[in-house]
Amino acid sequence: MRPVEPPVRLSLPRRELLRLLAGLAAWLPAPWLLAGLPGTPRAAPSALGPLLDTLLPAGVAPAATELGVDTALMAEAGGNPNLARLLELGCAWLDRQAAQFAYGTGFAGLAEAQRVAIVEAAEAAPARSLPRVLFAAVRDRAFHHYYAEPRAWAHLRYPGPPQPVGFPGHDGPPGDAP
Amino acid sequence: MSAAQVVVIGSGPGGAAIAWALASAGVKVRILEAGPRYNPLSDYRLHLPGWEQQPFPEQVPHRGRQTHAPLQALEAQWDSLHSWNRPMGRFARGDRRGFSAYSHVVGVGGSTLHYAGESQRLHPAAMRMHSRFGVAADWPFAYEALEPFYQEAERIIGVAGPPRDPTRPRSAPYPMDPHAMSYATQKLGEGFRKLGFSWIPNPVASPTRPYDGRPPCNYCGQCARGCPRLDKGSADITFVAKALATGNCQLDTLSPVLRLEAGERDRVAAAIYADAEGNTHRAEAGLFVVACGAVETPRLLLNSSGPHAPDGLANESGLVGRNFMETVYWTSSGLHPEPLGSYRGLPSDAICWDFNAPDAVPGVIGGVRFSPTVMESDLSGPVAYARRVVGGWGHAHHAAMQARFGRVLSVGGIGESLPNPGSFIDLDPQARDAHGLPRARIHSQLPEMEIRRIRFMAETCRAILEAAGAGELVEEYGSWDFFNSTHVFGTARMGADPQHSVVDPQCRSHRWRNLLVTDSSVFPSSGGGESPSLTIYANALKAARHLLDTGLAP
Repeated sequence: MRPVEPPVRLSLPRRELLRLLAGLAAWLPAPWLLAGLPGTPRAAPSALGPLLDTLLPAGVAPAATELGVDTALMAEAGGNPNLARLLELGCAWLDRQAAQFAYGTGFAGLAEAQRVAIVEAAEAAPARSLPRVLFAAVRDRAFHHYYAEPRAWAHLRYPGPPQPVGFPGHDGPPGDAP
Repeated sequence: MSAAQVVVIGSGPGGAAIAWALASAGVKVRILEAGPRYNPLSDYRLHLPGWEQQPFPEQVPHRGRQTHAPLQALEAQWDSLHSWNRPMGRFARGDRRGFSAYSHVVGVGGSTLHYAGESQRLHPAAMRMHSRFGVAADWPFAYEALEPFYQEAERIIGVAGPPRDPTRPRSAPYPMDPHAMSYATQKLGEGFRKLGFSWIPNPVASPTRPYDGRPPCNYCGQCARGCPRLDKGSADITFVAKALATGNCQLDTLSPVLRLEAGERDRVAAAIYADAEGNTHRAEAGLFVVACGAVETPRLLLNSSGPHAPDGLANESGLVGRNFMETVYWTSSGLHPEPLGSYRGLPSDAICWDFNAPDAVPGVIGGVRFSPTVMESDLSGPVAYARRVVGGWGHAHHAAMQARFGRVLSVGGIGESLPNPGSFIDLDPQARDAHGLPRARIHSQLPEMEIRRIRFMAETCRAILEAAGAGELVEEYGSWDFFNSTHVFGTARMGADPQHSVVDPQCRSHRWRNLLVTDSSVFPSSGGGESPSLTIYANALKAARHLLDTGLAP
């Protein structure tokens, strides 16, 4: 059979995202919303790399920024204004949350445990809130880019990519591979 | 090549097979294909680190080519049939069935470019659905009439299959011995056997040894993303390539046919097609064959209305677009305790036919079949595992990935789709394509019989995974809450009675005698979940044989 496409929804539909952004006007500084969409962000928000490295930290595998996930995500945002806006607003939210730990530091200046606490709060935030949408979207896109790097496969013992070798011995247990 | 005697519209299995058969007999054939020709050696990405980030690298997006009518409400009694996965929960956002996709490939070879090579014959009883069970329509010939053409198609595309199939009589063995089942498929087989079900090799158009200049399969598991080795027997490297090699076949790509020009004396005069710059041209011939698939074929016929055919070309019965049958399916994925390397092997290397006969499922008319669904679930790489199986984040995510990667078993069913008045293809009254022509609009209704068939598949899949030791479910989805089709049928029904069919038993329009349809649009019934490509090939070869025996001129 030919492949069917899992009806996976990975981000808010555009209409819902715009409603979310409009609804945030009540408590966000007006310039964030009244400024024109930047189009292609010139630089990643300072919180983005640390956010990615909190989601995918160094340990048994490289950290996300070590594999260039921040660069890949910003390139993706360059062609997706909704994602760019979400990253801008979401990273600003992260920086504001950082103030509860260290005034004036920003998310990037926090220790790992503090960053983890903020990300946990984002994950637990109400559905369709900015932090929750940021968390879900960034995690999903981070996985998409991170696991396209062979250095992320080593701890999985995944002998990919699928070609040109294929998987000889497919009818027996995996060898060193899982 | 001198002027074409036959114009074939579409180069999927139905168009490719008839083009080859006619060209091989010396007939001058011109294929008009809407999409591009893919180069397996350069267009497919399976050698790249980012191979998993993209499905089939289509050059003509399939999404958005058609529209759809609103789908039905979801009734709470079928709640167990919701599509879901662990990280995301339920997929459906509201209380109505959603539209996911009509998944197809626009290009030389059609949807065989992204299929798993399943090459299955119809169950003979599934060709007698009306006379035996009072549903759908009978095929206007028996299995035995198709059998020699099944043989021929299996030879051309190179099918490796099991030595015995008690339900589908064969006049000769498969061209090649079957593939060894992957380790993961063997584990699934333990589940099938515990439940008393059979589990045999699935016939697939993928060589087990060098065949006709093609290498044997190396079990990368990614047939859906295009085969860069030219081992999978898709239509482009088999029938189309052989047709071109005769010197009697011309292939025009990026040449979508906009309409057929119906002329005097019940003859089609020309195919009007566009080139890559958008200029229109006439292709004249004595005979026209339409093979665009069961959604785009009725669209072309309906868009070809005119003074001689006010209701659409070949639509004297009113059945063009009617009797639309879709993919009725279910798939469940669960985690096995053992590291399996389950991304290895052919995606659909085994099959259970126990419930495939039309009366095999209790309380339901129309059979089903079960097979591994590695391709359908596409849980065969690190990106998919992270996003859809493991989730989480931080150090715990890394540990969970290490623990779970390669352990998913996926099993699924595909079942009979019965025609009903709520399922049909028409022209969208508003949506237009780049040429200003109405797009096809898909209407889909799932009657209770279909939903009960889906429930049977879901319950059976869950039981199989439990019996196989993979009862920890991670994802399930099916066609109850989302329209999601690849196999589609029925919209130019074949039959002997012009009042109740569009084409005759030889695939020729009852009225327009120089017009044939040779894709799955002509299927009077869908079968009990069999992949239709082999039957499309065989039926097209049968139609070609009749033309050659009786003469091209009507």
